[in-house]
Amino acid sequence: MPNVFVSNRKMPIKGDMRNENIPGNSPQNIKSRTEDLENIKKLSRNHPLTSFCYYPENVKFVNEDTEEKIILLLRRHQITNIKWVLMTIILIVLPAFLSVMPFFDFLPYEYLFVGGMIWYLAVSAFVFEQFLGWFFNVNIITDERIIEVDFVNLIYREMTDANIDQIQDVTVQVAGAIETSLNFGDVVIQTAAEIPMITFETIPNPDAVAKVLRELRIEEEIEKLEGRVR
Amino acid sequence: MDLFGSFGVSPLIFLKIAIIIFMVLYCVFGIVLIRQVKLMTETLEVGFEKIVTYASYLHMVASVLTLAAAIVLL
Repeated sequence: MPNVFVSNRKMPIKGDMRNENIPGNSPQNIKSRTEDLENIKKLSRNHPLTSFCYYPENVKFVNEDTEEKIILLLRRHQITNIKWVLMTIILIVLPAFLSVMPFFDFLPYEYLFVGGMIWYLAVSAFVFEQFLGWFFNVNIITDERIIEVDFVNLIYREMTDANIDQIQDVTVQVAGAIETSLNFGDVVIQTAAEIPMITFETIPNPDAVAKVLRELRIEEEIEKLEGRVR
Repeated sequence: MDLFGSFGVSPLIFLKIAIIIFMVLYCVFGIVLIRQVKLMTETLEVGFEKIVTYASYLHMVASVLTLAAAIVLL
């Protein structure tokens, strides 16, 4: 009686990631993937205010494993800050227009002075809050998992993660003229983890991110086949 | 105006009290902001923590100075 549980396919040699026995790992595919990764490197900017950083240096996050490597650090595209920047400009110049109006004529000079101080203090807090919201709401892709860090308000932090091998589907959504011309959009990742969906919102180069995730999934498959799973 | 004047109280005193109460609450917000920045920098380290932390302390100092100005000048 034939043993239906024994595969005739040759198992890949341990440690050789370019083994052609692995599905989708032909020499042409390997070459094309290497070129893609080179292009992704070119898109990366390695400074603290970047929105897209491939293999970032000196970046650490809470609950990071010792052997874990950060592959991509992502933030919302810089252009998404334009709304609050314009709002700030309006708030800065607004008192100059209000001084023309007769509303505050009855107030002594000291009250107007302190009112001005309070106003600009509040504007500075607004700017700081908006900046913090952009700077610390990040998406991280490591060699083992994807992480979404979300600071919803002043004292509420939400951190979602899913293992790479739990990723089931990756969808790139680029909708709108600005998004298309500046190449940013959402990457929706459906997972088999407790939280079924993780969305990287308005990140730059979403196709490149999807490509990296695909590479990692292939890498994870190879690790499983070779029995190198951590 | 006349109502306040008849009691010998300037209406501006109420405005002063309101501003001081607002500034005290604002200083509390400044402390919360410092705590928030601490939480954020502990969550993610990218080499920009010092500047952000100094900015939060600077904001707190400015808040206290504004509160002092409200008490002294008004």
